Amino acid sequence: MTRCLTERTLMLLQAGEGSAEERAHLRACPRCAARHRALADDLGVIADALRAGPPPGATHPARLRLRAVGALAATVALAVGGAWMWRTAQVPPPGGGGDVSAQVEDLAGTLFATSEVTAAGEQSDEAAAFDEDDELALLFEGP
Amino acid sequence: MKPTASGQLDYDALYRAQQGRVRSLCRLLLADPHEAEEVCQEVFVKLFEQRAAPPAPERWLTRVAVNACRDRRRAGWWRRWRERGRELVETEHAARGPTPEEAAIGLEDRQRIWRVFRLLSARQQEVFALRQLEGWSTAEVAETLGLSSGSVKRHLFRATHQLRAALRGTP
Repeated sequence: MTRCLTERTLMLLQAGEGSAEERAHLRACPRCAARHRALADDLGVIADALRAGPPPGATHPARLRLRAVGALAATVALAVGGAWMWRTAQVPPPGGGGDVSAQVEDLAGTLFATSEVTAAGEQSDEAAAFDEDDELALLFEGP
Repeated sequence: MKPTASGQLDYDALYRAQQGRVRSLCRLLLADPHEAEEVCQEVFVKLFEQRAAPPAPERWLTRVAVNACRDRRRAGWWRRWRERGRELVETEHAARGPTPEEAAIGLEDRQRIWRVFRLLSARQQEVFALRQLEGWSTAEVAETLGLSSGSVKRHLFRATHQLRAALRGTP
């Protein structure tokens, strides 16, 4: 093994694991050996600090809670703001309601007009047929 | 701690020898010192209630303490959220003099390490505590926490990486 060991491998070696090849590299490579020693030193300091118990000011439940409440409040404010903007976009501006009503009336008018035309067309055909019958009757029967 | 010649476990001696270690472990895994104290007492009560002494009482205590702390975190998060908003809960630690370890490590370093440790996931805290502080093997940690050895290594690596970054002031 010629490449230097990764941090993860060094940590595994420090924990008593790792392959024989990696251990051999650790013995042969001064740079990895120094990194390994630094890791061991750091872990020793961390373990001592944790064993000694929390120092004053290390954990601030109230501060953490305040931070969480702040994040929650910001999320709620964003949600409310978004809902308000969405609602504003949906409601037509003042005076614009007439346009919508006019469009609805136009649409309705078109629909009704079509049916009226159709009905009128049917009626006119019937009326025309009726008029022709009347005229024939008048011709045969006389005035 | 071995059973006595009569086959009975010397509970008093075991309590005296292990109470500090179990309390420290609970203190590590629970943010609240009062809750840690409660859990520590619960663990020893459970030990006393055992009909037969466990074969390895020290390991039994550790395993039960870790499980009890995990149960506390799961069950009472909302209660702690409501009731435990004290600004500083380490007054008893601040009141006494510094230990040699505390004197060797700067206050800022300790604060950073503890702050980052508190930000680790519960699993990472448990793995780091058992592996690095209690000196358990990866296989033992995996068995106790119900994880694969790969997961234990992964949690350990992440915890170590973050704690080292905290120690160097580059979290």
